[in-house]
Parts: sequence; C-alpha cells; structure tokens
Amino acid sequence: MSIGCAHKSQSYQRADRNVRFACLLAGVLYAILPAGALSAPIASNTALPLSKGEVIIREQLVVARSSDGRGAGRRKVERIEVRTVLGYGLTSRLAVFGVLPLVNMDSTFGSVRQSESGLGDVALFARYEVLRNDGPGRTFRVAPFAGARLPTGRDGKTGDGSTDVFGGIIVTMADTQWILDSQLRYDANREAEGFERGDVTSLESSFQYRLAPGQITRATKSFVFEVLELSVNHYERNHTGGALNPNSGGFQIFLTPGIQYSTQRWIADFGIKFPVISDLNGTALEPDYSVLTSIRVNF
Amino acid sequence: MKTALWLPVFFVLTSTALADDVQYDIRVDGITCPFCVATSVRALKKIDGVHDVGSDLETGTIFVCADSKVVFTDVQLKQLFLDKGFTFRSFEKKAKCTIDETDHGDMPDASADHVHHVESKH
Repeated sequence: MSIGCAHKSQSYQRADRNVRFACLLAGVLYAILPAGALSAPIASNTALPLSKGEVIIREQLVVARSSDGRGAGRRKVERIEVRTVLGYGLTSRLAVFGVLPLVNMDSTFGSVRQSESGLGDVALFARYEVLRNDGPGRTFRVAPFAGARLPTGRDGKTGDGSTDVFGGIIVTMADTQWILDSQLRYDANREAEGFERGDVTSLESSFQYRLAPGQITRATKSFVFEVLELSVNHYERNHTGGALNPNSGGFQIFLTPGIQYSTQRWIADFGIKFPVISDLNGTALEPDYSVLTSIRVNF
Repeated sequence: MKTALWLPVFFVLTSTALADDVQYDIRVDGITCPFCVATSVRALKKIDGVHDVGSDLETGTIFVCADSKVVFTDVQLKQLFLDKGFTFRSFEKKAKCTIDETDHGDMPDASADHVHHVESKH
C-alpha cells in the first residue's frame, strides 16, 4: 500500500527515503485502520437509531502496527490514533456524524526512524434509515450512508491530501440476546497533486452476543456482550502521475474479537483486530494487529 | 415532642400522594438494549408529574409512575417514541404504581383500568 511519491518529493523537498516513508505510512495505515465511526460494533457501523435531538460522543483509541521482514532492513510502522466521533440526530431517521482523528506515527526503515503527529483527515457523513421493522424486544433496520473525508491532515503524513467521498449501506438485526450489524462500503478516493489512492470496497459484519446477565429482569440496567467482527477489504491500486503503482492495492480479511459493556448512559468496548488473510501487492507492509478501545456516551 | 406530633400528618400526606399515583405500562417495539431505551426513559422523565420510569427489555415494556393528573394519549406517545426511533404499540393504565417493586424483580399483579392499542407501522 505504498503511495507513489514523485510529486511529494518536490512538494516537501525532502530526501527520497523520507518521502518514501511518509507516503508508505499514509497508505499502510489507511489499510489497517477500521472504517468505523459511531456504532454498536467496535470497528464498523450500526443502523440502530440516534434519536431526534440526541447527541452521542465516542472517544476511540486505536493502536496499530504493520511491518515486514526481519533483520537490518526491516520496515515497521506503529500508529496511535485518538478518534473523536460526534453524532447528532436531526430526525428520528436522519443522523449526521463527524470524525476527528489525532494521529501519531512512528516508523522504522532499517536504521532510519521517523515520527509524525497531528490532525488526520476529518470525515463527515450522514445516515438515513430507510427501513424499520420493529417487534417486542427486536428490530430490523436498513440505513444507507454517505459522506466525505476532508484533507485536514498533513499531506503524505497524517492525511493523503485529497477530498474523498464514500458511501454504503448498513443492515442491523437485533434482539435482546444478540445484534448483527453488516455494512457494505465503497470509498471513492480522488486525486491530489498527482497522487490518487486506489478505491476501497469493504464488507464488515459484527456479531454481538449477550453474555450477562443470563436472564433479563426489570432490574437489568446493563449488558455485557462478546463481540466478533469480520472485515473484508479490497484495495485498488494507487496512481502516481497517472501511472499505476505496483506496490499498492490488494485484498485483506480481518477478524476482531472483543468485549463490550453497555449501560443506559454509556458503552465501553475493547477489541483486537488482526489479519486472517493479507494479500497485498508488491512491497506493501503487512498489518500485524490493531488494538481498539472506546467509550461512547449519549446526551 | 413536636416531631412526634407531625409524624402522623406526614404519613397521611405521603399515603395520600402515593394513592394518587398511577402507572402506565407502555409497549414499545424495537428496544433491544439498555443504551437504546435510555433516551426514551429520559424523555418520559421530563414530563411534568412523572415520578419514575422503568423498563423490561424482554417484553418491550416501559413503566411510568406518575401523578393521576398525567394523562397520556396514543397520539402523544406515538410521536414521542417515533422521535426516539422506536415503534409505540399500546399502553395500559393501572391504578397503582408498582415500579419500585418490579425494579427489584417482583411481578405484582396491578389491576388494569384502561388498555389502549395502536396499530402503528412506519
């Protein structure tokens, strides 16, 4: 998932190696981070409602690592991201969201080390519920969503410099024992300064099963869920100056087992995301793992 | 001595107030978790005269303990739960408020005065 860098070497007037670093980081980290925002799942979305006038804030911490090879020439990227997600229900069916990421990346390429930190690319999107089928203690919802990722991060370092658009559809089935969220998403990435990251198609499913309490009573005020999430991603190749980059694009499948504690006021979750299949082209870095934890509060 | 004199008065006033309380059992579809029900509970608690709100997720029932002067209507509840993203089905008015007991897992048999049903689908 390295990013082509010819134009960036002119933009930043840095040594080739450093430019390669920066470009590599942006591409790799895009691949290993979850597309998630506000959700019941840990790393994706839900179609469960955000009430009219309700505000939800989610703080998510993501620690991710990618690497390849061993020994003196080993490349390694470690990223810590603190993501603030703000959601607001405009109506009972229409909700808007903003995602503000703060990023720190440490990279090692042989003996060379580099660190970058700052604001990442801010994402804004809206979700509209088109289908609702409710029953006693159960629901089925379908909600398309669409949005844009803005170039608020530093080009080639904490962001890719382009305004990208994305959209998809979320399907949620839930009862009091389990929740199944599935999301199909397409990211149409656009060109900026001669570089265009490849489009991404992803399918994500999250299954949450209630561990406790075993039986719900009128006194029940909280749930503990075990969570298992599947993420299937296809990345098209990047373009640099109109040419395809052979060290980009590919296919990955991730699993994220985790746990979640849900109360009336807040939800806390923790999960570890790791690759099951990673078939990236060329010399792209392979993801090792991501640790995700978050807390969300409704107001 | 003064305290002892006021105690019977206090008990009379308190028991009068409790006797005036009624309970609404509101059936709402689509509520599946504590986090989901929270906004509806808060909205109901904001209504003047409502003292307490509880819920049973398994049956999709929200219990509201309120002054007898509080009168819910189908239209009002349908809109309230629609705004919260859920589907109001019906409510049952009971002469006695039993939320405190039921919140601890008991299931008292309160008499139902009125039952309202709404066949609402969105």
